[in-house]
Amino acid sequence: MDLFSNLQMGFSIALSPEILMYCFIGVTLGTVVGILPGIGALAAIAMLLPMTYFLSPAAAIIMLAGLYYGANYGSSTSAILLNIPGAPSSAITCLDGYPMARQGRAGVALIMTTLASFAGSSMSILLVMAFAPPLAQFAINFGSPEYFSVMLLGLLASSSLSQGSFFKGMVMVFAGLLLGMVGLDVNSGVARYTYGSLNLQAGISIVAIAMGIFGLAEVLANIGMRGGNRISMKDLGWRTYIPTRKDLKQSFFPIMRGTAVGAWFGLLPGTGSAIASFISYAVEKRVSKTPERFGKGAIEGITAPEAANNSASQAAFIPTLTLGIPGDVVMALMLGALMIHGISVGPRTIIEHADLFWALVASFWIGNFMLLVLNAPLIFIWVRLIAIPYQVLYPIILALVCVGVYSVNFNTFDIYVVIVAGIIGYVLRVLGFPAAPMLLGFILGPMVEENFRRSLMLSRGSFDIFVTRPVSASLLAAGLLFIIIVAWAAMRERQKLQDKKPD
Amino acid sequence: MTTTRAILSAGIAALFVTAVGYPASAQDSFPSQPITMIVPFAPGADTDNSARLIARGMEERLGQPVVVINRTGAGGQIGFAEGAAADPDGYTITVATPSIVTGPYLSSAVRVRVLEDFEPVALPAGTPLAVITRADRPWSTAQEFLDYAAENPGEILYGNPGEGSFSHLLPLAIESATGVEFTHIAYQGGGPALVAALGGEVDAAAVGIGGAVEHIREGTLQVLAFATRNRYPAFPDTPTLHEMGHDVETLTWWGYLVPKGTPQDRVEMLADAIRHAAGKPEFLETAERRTWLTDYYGPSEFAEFLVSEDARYGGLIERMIERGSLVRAN
Amino acid sequence: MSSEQPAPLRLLTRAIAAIAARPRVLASFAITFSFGAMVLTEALNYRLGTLHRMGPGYFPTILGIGLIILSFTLLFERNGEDGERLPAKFLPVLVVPVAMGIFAFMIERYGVYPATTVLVIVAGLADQTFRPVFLLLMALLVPAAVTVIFVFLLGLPIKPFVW
Repeated sequence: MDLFSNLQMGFSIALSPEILMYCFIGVTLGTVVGILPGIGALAAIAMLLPMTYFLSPAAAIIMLAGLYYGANYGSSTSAILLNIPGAPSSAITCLDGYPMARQGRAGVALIMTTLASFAGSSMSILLVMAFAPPLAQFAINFGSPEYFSVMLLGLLASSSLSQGSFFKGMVMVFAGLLLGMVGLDVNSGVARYTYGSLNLQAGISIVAIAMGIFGLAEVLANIGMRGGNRISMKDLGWRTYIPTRKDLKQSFFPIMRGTAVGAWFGLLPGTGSAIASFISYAVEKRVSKTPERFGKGAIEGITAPEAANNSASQAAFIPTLTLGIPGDVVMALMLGALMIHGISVGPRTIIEHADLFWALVASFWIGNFMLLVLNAPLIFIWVRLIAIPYQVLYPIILALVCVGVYSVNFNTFDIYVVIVAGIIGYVLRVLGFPAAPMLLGFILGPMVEENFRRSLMLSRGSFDIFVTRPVSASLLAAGLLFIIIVAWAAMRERQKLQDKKPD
Repeated sequence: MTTTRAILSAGIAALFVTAVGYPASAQDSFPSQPITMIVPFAPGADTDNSARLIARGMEERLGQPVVVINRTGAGGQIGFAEGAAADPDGYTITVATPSIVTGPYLSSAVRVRVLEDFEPVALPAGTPLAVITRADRPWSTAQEFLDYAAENPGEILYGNPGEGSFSHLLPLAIESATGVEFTHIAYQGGGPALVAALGGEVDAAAVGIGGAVEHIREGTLQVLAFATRNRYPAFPDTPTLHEMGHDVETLTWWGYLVPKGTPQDRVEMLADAIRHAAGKPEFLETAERRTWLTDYYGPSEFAEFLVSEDARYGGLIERMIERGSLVRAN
Repeated sequence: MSSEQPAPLRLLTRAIAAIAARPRVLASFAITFSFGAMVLTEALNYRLGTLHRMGPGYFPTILGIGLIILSFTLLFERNGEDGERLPAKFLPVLVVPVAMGIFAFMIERYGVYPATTVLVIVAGLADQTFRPVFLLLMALLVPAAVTVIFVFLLGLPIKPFVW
């Protein structure tokens, strides 16, 4: 088999002591930046970049890649333990991870997310190995109408993200869409909602919004709270770490679906892991027979999104390596590192630089295995964070959030955004508005608008473009089906209620 | 008591000297501390790559670390503004692209004026914009492309990495110079615009030659003409728009600036270090692979060049805004 | 019969009484409505375009109108009084943002170490149970840890001190 001989070649390079060491450095740093709130893989990779000049191309790309996918492992840790997402992609993990921690199941939650991350990554690597070129072709043919249709489907799904008031959820989606619009309009070049500010022209940083509305709001709500919600050390016996049979059973299919959702979004340049994790949560809640468990510590509410965001970050290598088109800034940076070494990535990379490609794929396996081994024992340390009194914890959290958010762009404006978003987030909590739909609206909004308007420009004003292209048409049909199912379910619910009340 | 007071006053005096007397005494020993290089664009792009190579070469010459900081946002304007506001002591260098010239014409929120706020140091390299189209379209030369565009106004879909971005100025300049008309399709950055061309959603893409070169080799895309004055060494058979009689020159250059008021001898020292860095084999090799142009401009040439660029783009953008092809962001 | 209020007026007073009894609903309505109005006002400055050729104002206008419509639905929401029953403490909400604001002001002027020190001390005041000695200890340890992690371990271009 060709695949096996290639893979064998890859492993022979990736298992050399030097490469192993750089892979380890990469995934370890990735874990660190993942756990720290705010700061993402970008800052750490930018800092490693000068170092890669002195390495072989394989060592360089393997180290940077390790940092990239490693950052996704740790980002759920602070989401689960502190209700503060390590990265925007794990904001959704707060919804069920934090309730699990409050129920004394933090250990299980962390172990399950680590397993889900590993499973999601592994399956996605298989995709990279077997189908990279055809999948890249698929990504190329995914045009503006298709992007619009899939983003619209995502927006429809966002309606199921929140519990409680449906209309408050909708308000938050709208607010997110609007916040996402702040800045220069891609299609016309007009600055919208910037009120003359250059900082706003660049758009609002999603990291700052996520840190404010989830992280700072949580801190504000918790300071000075006394009593029942903290957990003491004696509640953290070793039994609390072991997932039950039920946990595993409940997580199996969600992980599979999460991986599929993640791989899909990872493939499309410009979408990425945050969308993947939000959508996979929405999918799980929709297909679940017991959606009322979500938001109260449902295990599939954390395993599916974590599988999805790891799967997405592995699949994102497909367009990057086969087309030379980076899915995000971090990928662009990795391509830059290869350019320095004279490797210009394009359609022929897999053939012309077969050794490099297969060494990288082999290193994915090694790196993910390292991450599993690295993260599992750390869980026992992290869980003890919960037992620390909040009055000790919160100044540390604030310091990490401030420096972390600052280090994304080295712009103090982002810290002010966190402050404003935090105060707003606090008020919204008091009023019972859910935060998650807003974040999804924020991510999807600009893409929905941009691709919709672009599609109409391409078709010179004709709406046919959305329904005459098969992929776009079927996505829209799926959206319609979704609305029908939701409406039908709501009607049955009402029927049931009326049946119960005889008058 | 007296000793304590003596020590204290000596300490204060020392502080005073370091704080106030510093620029004067450091005149002969510049640079005596690390230099910061502000790159207003994301790491990994050609601008950043070239700046990092230059920074490494400068370190050799100056004997001090040159620390690259990526300060991104608003098409580079955030970084430009920060670089302009730095102390004029030569310890903060800003890497600029033509966006520093076009910015104020495109948005009234942009306050930085390159000619007033900066002292040009050097311009070691750049990468040209080129007419890059799909290979399977009914044209195979630049003339056929322009003829087709003239016969079918608005039919050619020309992708660009954002309305009002620097690359977008290439198709606009072609329209202005030849009278043809394209339909401009804006994308969120160069990557998506390139994907759109590869997928056939648009016919042409205004993207850098560096990202497209592999796809040109592959035969999916073709490069018809360069927007440079002279033929481009990496593609000697490809004509320039200039030689076809169209006054279209759009070069993405990477210039190095220091704040206005920086002592002239320091500007000279930095320019010399950049010249050294740009002449090193590792820089030249990367430049060749990435098909960069490497004509070194010193402080005075760069200053003249900036004036002509300002006139060129200022005029073009004003015409485009008048015609309604561009809007001025506020 | 003459002492009774006419029907429409009675309905109105009843509605006002019902709304006044639900402060969260009222606040939610007010915030959403004014946000929508603000969005819409600003959207009028941008070219609307047509359905087939949308200008930059099209989506914001739709969203602004949508928010205003949604704000009225909130008045009739069954779960309208949902939300966290938070004790009426305004100290953290005032003090913590101020502390972070000072941090943002200081980090580039004085460096990350002094900025974090001030952040920890000021933010610590939000929790009235903090003992001074303990706070001082935190003010020593947290900035040191932050500096080590971000500046030395991750090697970010942030200056620990600026002078």
